[in-house]
Amino acid sequence: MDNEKISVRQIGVLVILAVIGDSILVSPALIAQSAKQDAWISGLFGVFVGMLIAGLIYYVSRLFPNFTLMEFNRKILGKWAGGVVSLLFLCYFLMNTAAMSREISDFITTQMMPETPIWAIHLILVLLLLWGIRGGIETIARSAEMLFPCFFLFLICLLLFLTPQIKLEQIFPILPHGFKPILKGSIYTIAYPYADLIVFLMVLPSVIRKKHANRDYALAAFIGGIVLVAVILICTLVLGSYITAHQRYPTYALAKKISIGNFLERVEAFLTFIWIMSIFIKTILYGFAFVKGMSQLFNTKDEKFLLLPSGFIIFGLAYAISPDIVYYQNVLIKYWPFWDLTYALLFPLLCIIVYHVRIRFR
Amino acid sequence: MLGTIVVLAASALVAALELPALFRRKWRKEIFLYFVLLIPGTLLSIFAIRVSRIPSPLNIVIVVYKPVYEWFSYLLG
Repeated sequence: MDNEKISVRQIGVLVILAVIGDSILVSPALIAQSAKQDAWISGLFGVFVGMLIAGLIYYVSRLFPNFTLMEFNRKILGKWAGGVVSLLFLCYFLMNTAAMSREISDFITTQMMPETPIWAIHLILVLLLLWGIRGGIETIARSAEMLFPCFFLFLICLLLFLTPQIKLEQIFPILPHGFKPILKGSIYTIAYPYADLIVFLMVLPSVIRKKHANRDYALAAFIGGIVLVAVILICTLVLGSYITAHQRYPTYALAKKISIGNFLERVEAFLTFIWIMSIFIKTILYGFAFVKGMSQLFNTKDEKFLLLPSGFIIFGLAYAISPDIVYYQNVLIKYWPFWDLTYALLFPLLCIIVYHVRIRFR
Repeated sequence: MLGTIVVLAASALVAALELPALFRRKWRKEIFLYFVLLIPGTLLSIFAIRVSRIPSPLNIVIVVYKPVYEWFSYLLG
C-alpha cells in the first residue's frame, strides 16, 4: 500500500463524498431539532465555519507535505507525546469506522430489511470494507471517481423531482427566536461533515501535487457543504420543520414523497443508493486510516496482516457501540460533535503552535 | 452456541493462515500486534453474534464530554 498516488480530481471526489457522507441522511433532523425552520441558515453558517476547519486541516497537512498524521505527530510532538496522540487518533478512527457501519446497518434493519439480523449486514459490510482497504487508497479513489457521476445524477434527480411539492411558507417566519438556536444547530454542520475531514491527513500525502490542489480541495469541501444545505432546505420546504426534526431519517421520508403523475413513485431506493455509497466511501477511508495508521505508528514491516484481525474488531464494535438507537442518537446529538471537534480543532491547533514554537526556539 | 463456534473457528482459521508466515520471519512486534487485535476482536465478535449486550465503549466519550455539552447548552440556552 506504500507509494500510492492519487490525482487531485480523485481527492476532490473523495472530499465531496466524505462531506456529504452520513450527513445527508441524518443531519437535517439534528439541525431542525434546534434551529426549526431556520435550519438552512444554520447550515449555511455551519458551512462557513466548516470551511475554516477544512482549511485548518489542509494547513496542517502542508506543514510536512510528505508525512501522514502518525509520522508528523512523532516529528512535531516527539516520540512519547506523539505516540499517545497517535493512539488517540487510532481509537477515533476505529470508533468512527464501527459507528458508520452501525449507521448503515441501523438504517437497513429499520427501514428496508426489518427481519435480517444486524450481524448479517455487519458481516457483509466488513468483508467489503476489508476488500476495499486491501486494494489500497488508489483503488478506493478510483472506485469513488467511477461511481461519482451516478451519485450526482441521482442526487440532482432527487432534488428536482421534489420541486412540485415545495411549500414556500414552511420556512417563514425567518429568525423567530434569534441567533442562539441557529448557532446550536450549526454545530452539526461543522462537526459531522467538516471535522470528519481530519481523516484526510492520512490520505493527502499521497496526492500528486498540481497547481490547483488547494483550490480544488476547498472547492470540493464547499460543493459538499452546499449540497447538504440544499438537502436541508428541501427537507424543510417539503416536510416542514416539525416532521423533519422528528424523523430519524428525514431525507428518506423526503424521497418517499416523490410522486410525479402517478408514474414516478417509490424511488427511495435511489436515495438509499446515494447514501450508502457516500457513507461507505467515508467508512472505507476511516478503516484505511486505522489500518495504515496502526502500521505506521508501530513501524511494522508490512500492513496487510493487520487487515483480518481489524475486521474482527470492527465487526464486534459495530454491534457493541450502541445498545439501542435511542442511546446512539443521544450520543450523536450531545457528545459526538465535541469529540469530533477535539480532533479536528484542538489537535491541529496544538500541532501548529508546537511547530512554530519549535522553529523559533531551535 | 453455534455462532460462538463459528466465530472461534473463523478466528482460528485466520490465525492459522497468517501467523505461520509471521513466525517464520520472526517478526516479534508484528506477532504481538496481531494478537492485540485478534483476541479482543474475537471476543467482541462473539458478543456481537450472540446478540448479548456489553457496555458501549462510547460511555467513555459520554463521561469525558458531559461537562463540555453542559457548558455549551448553558451558553446557547
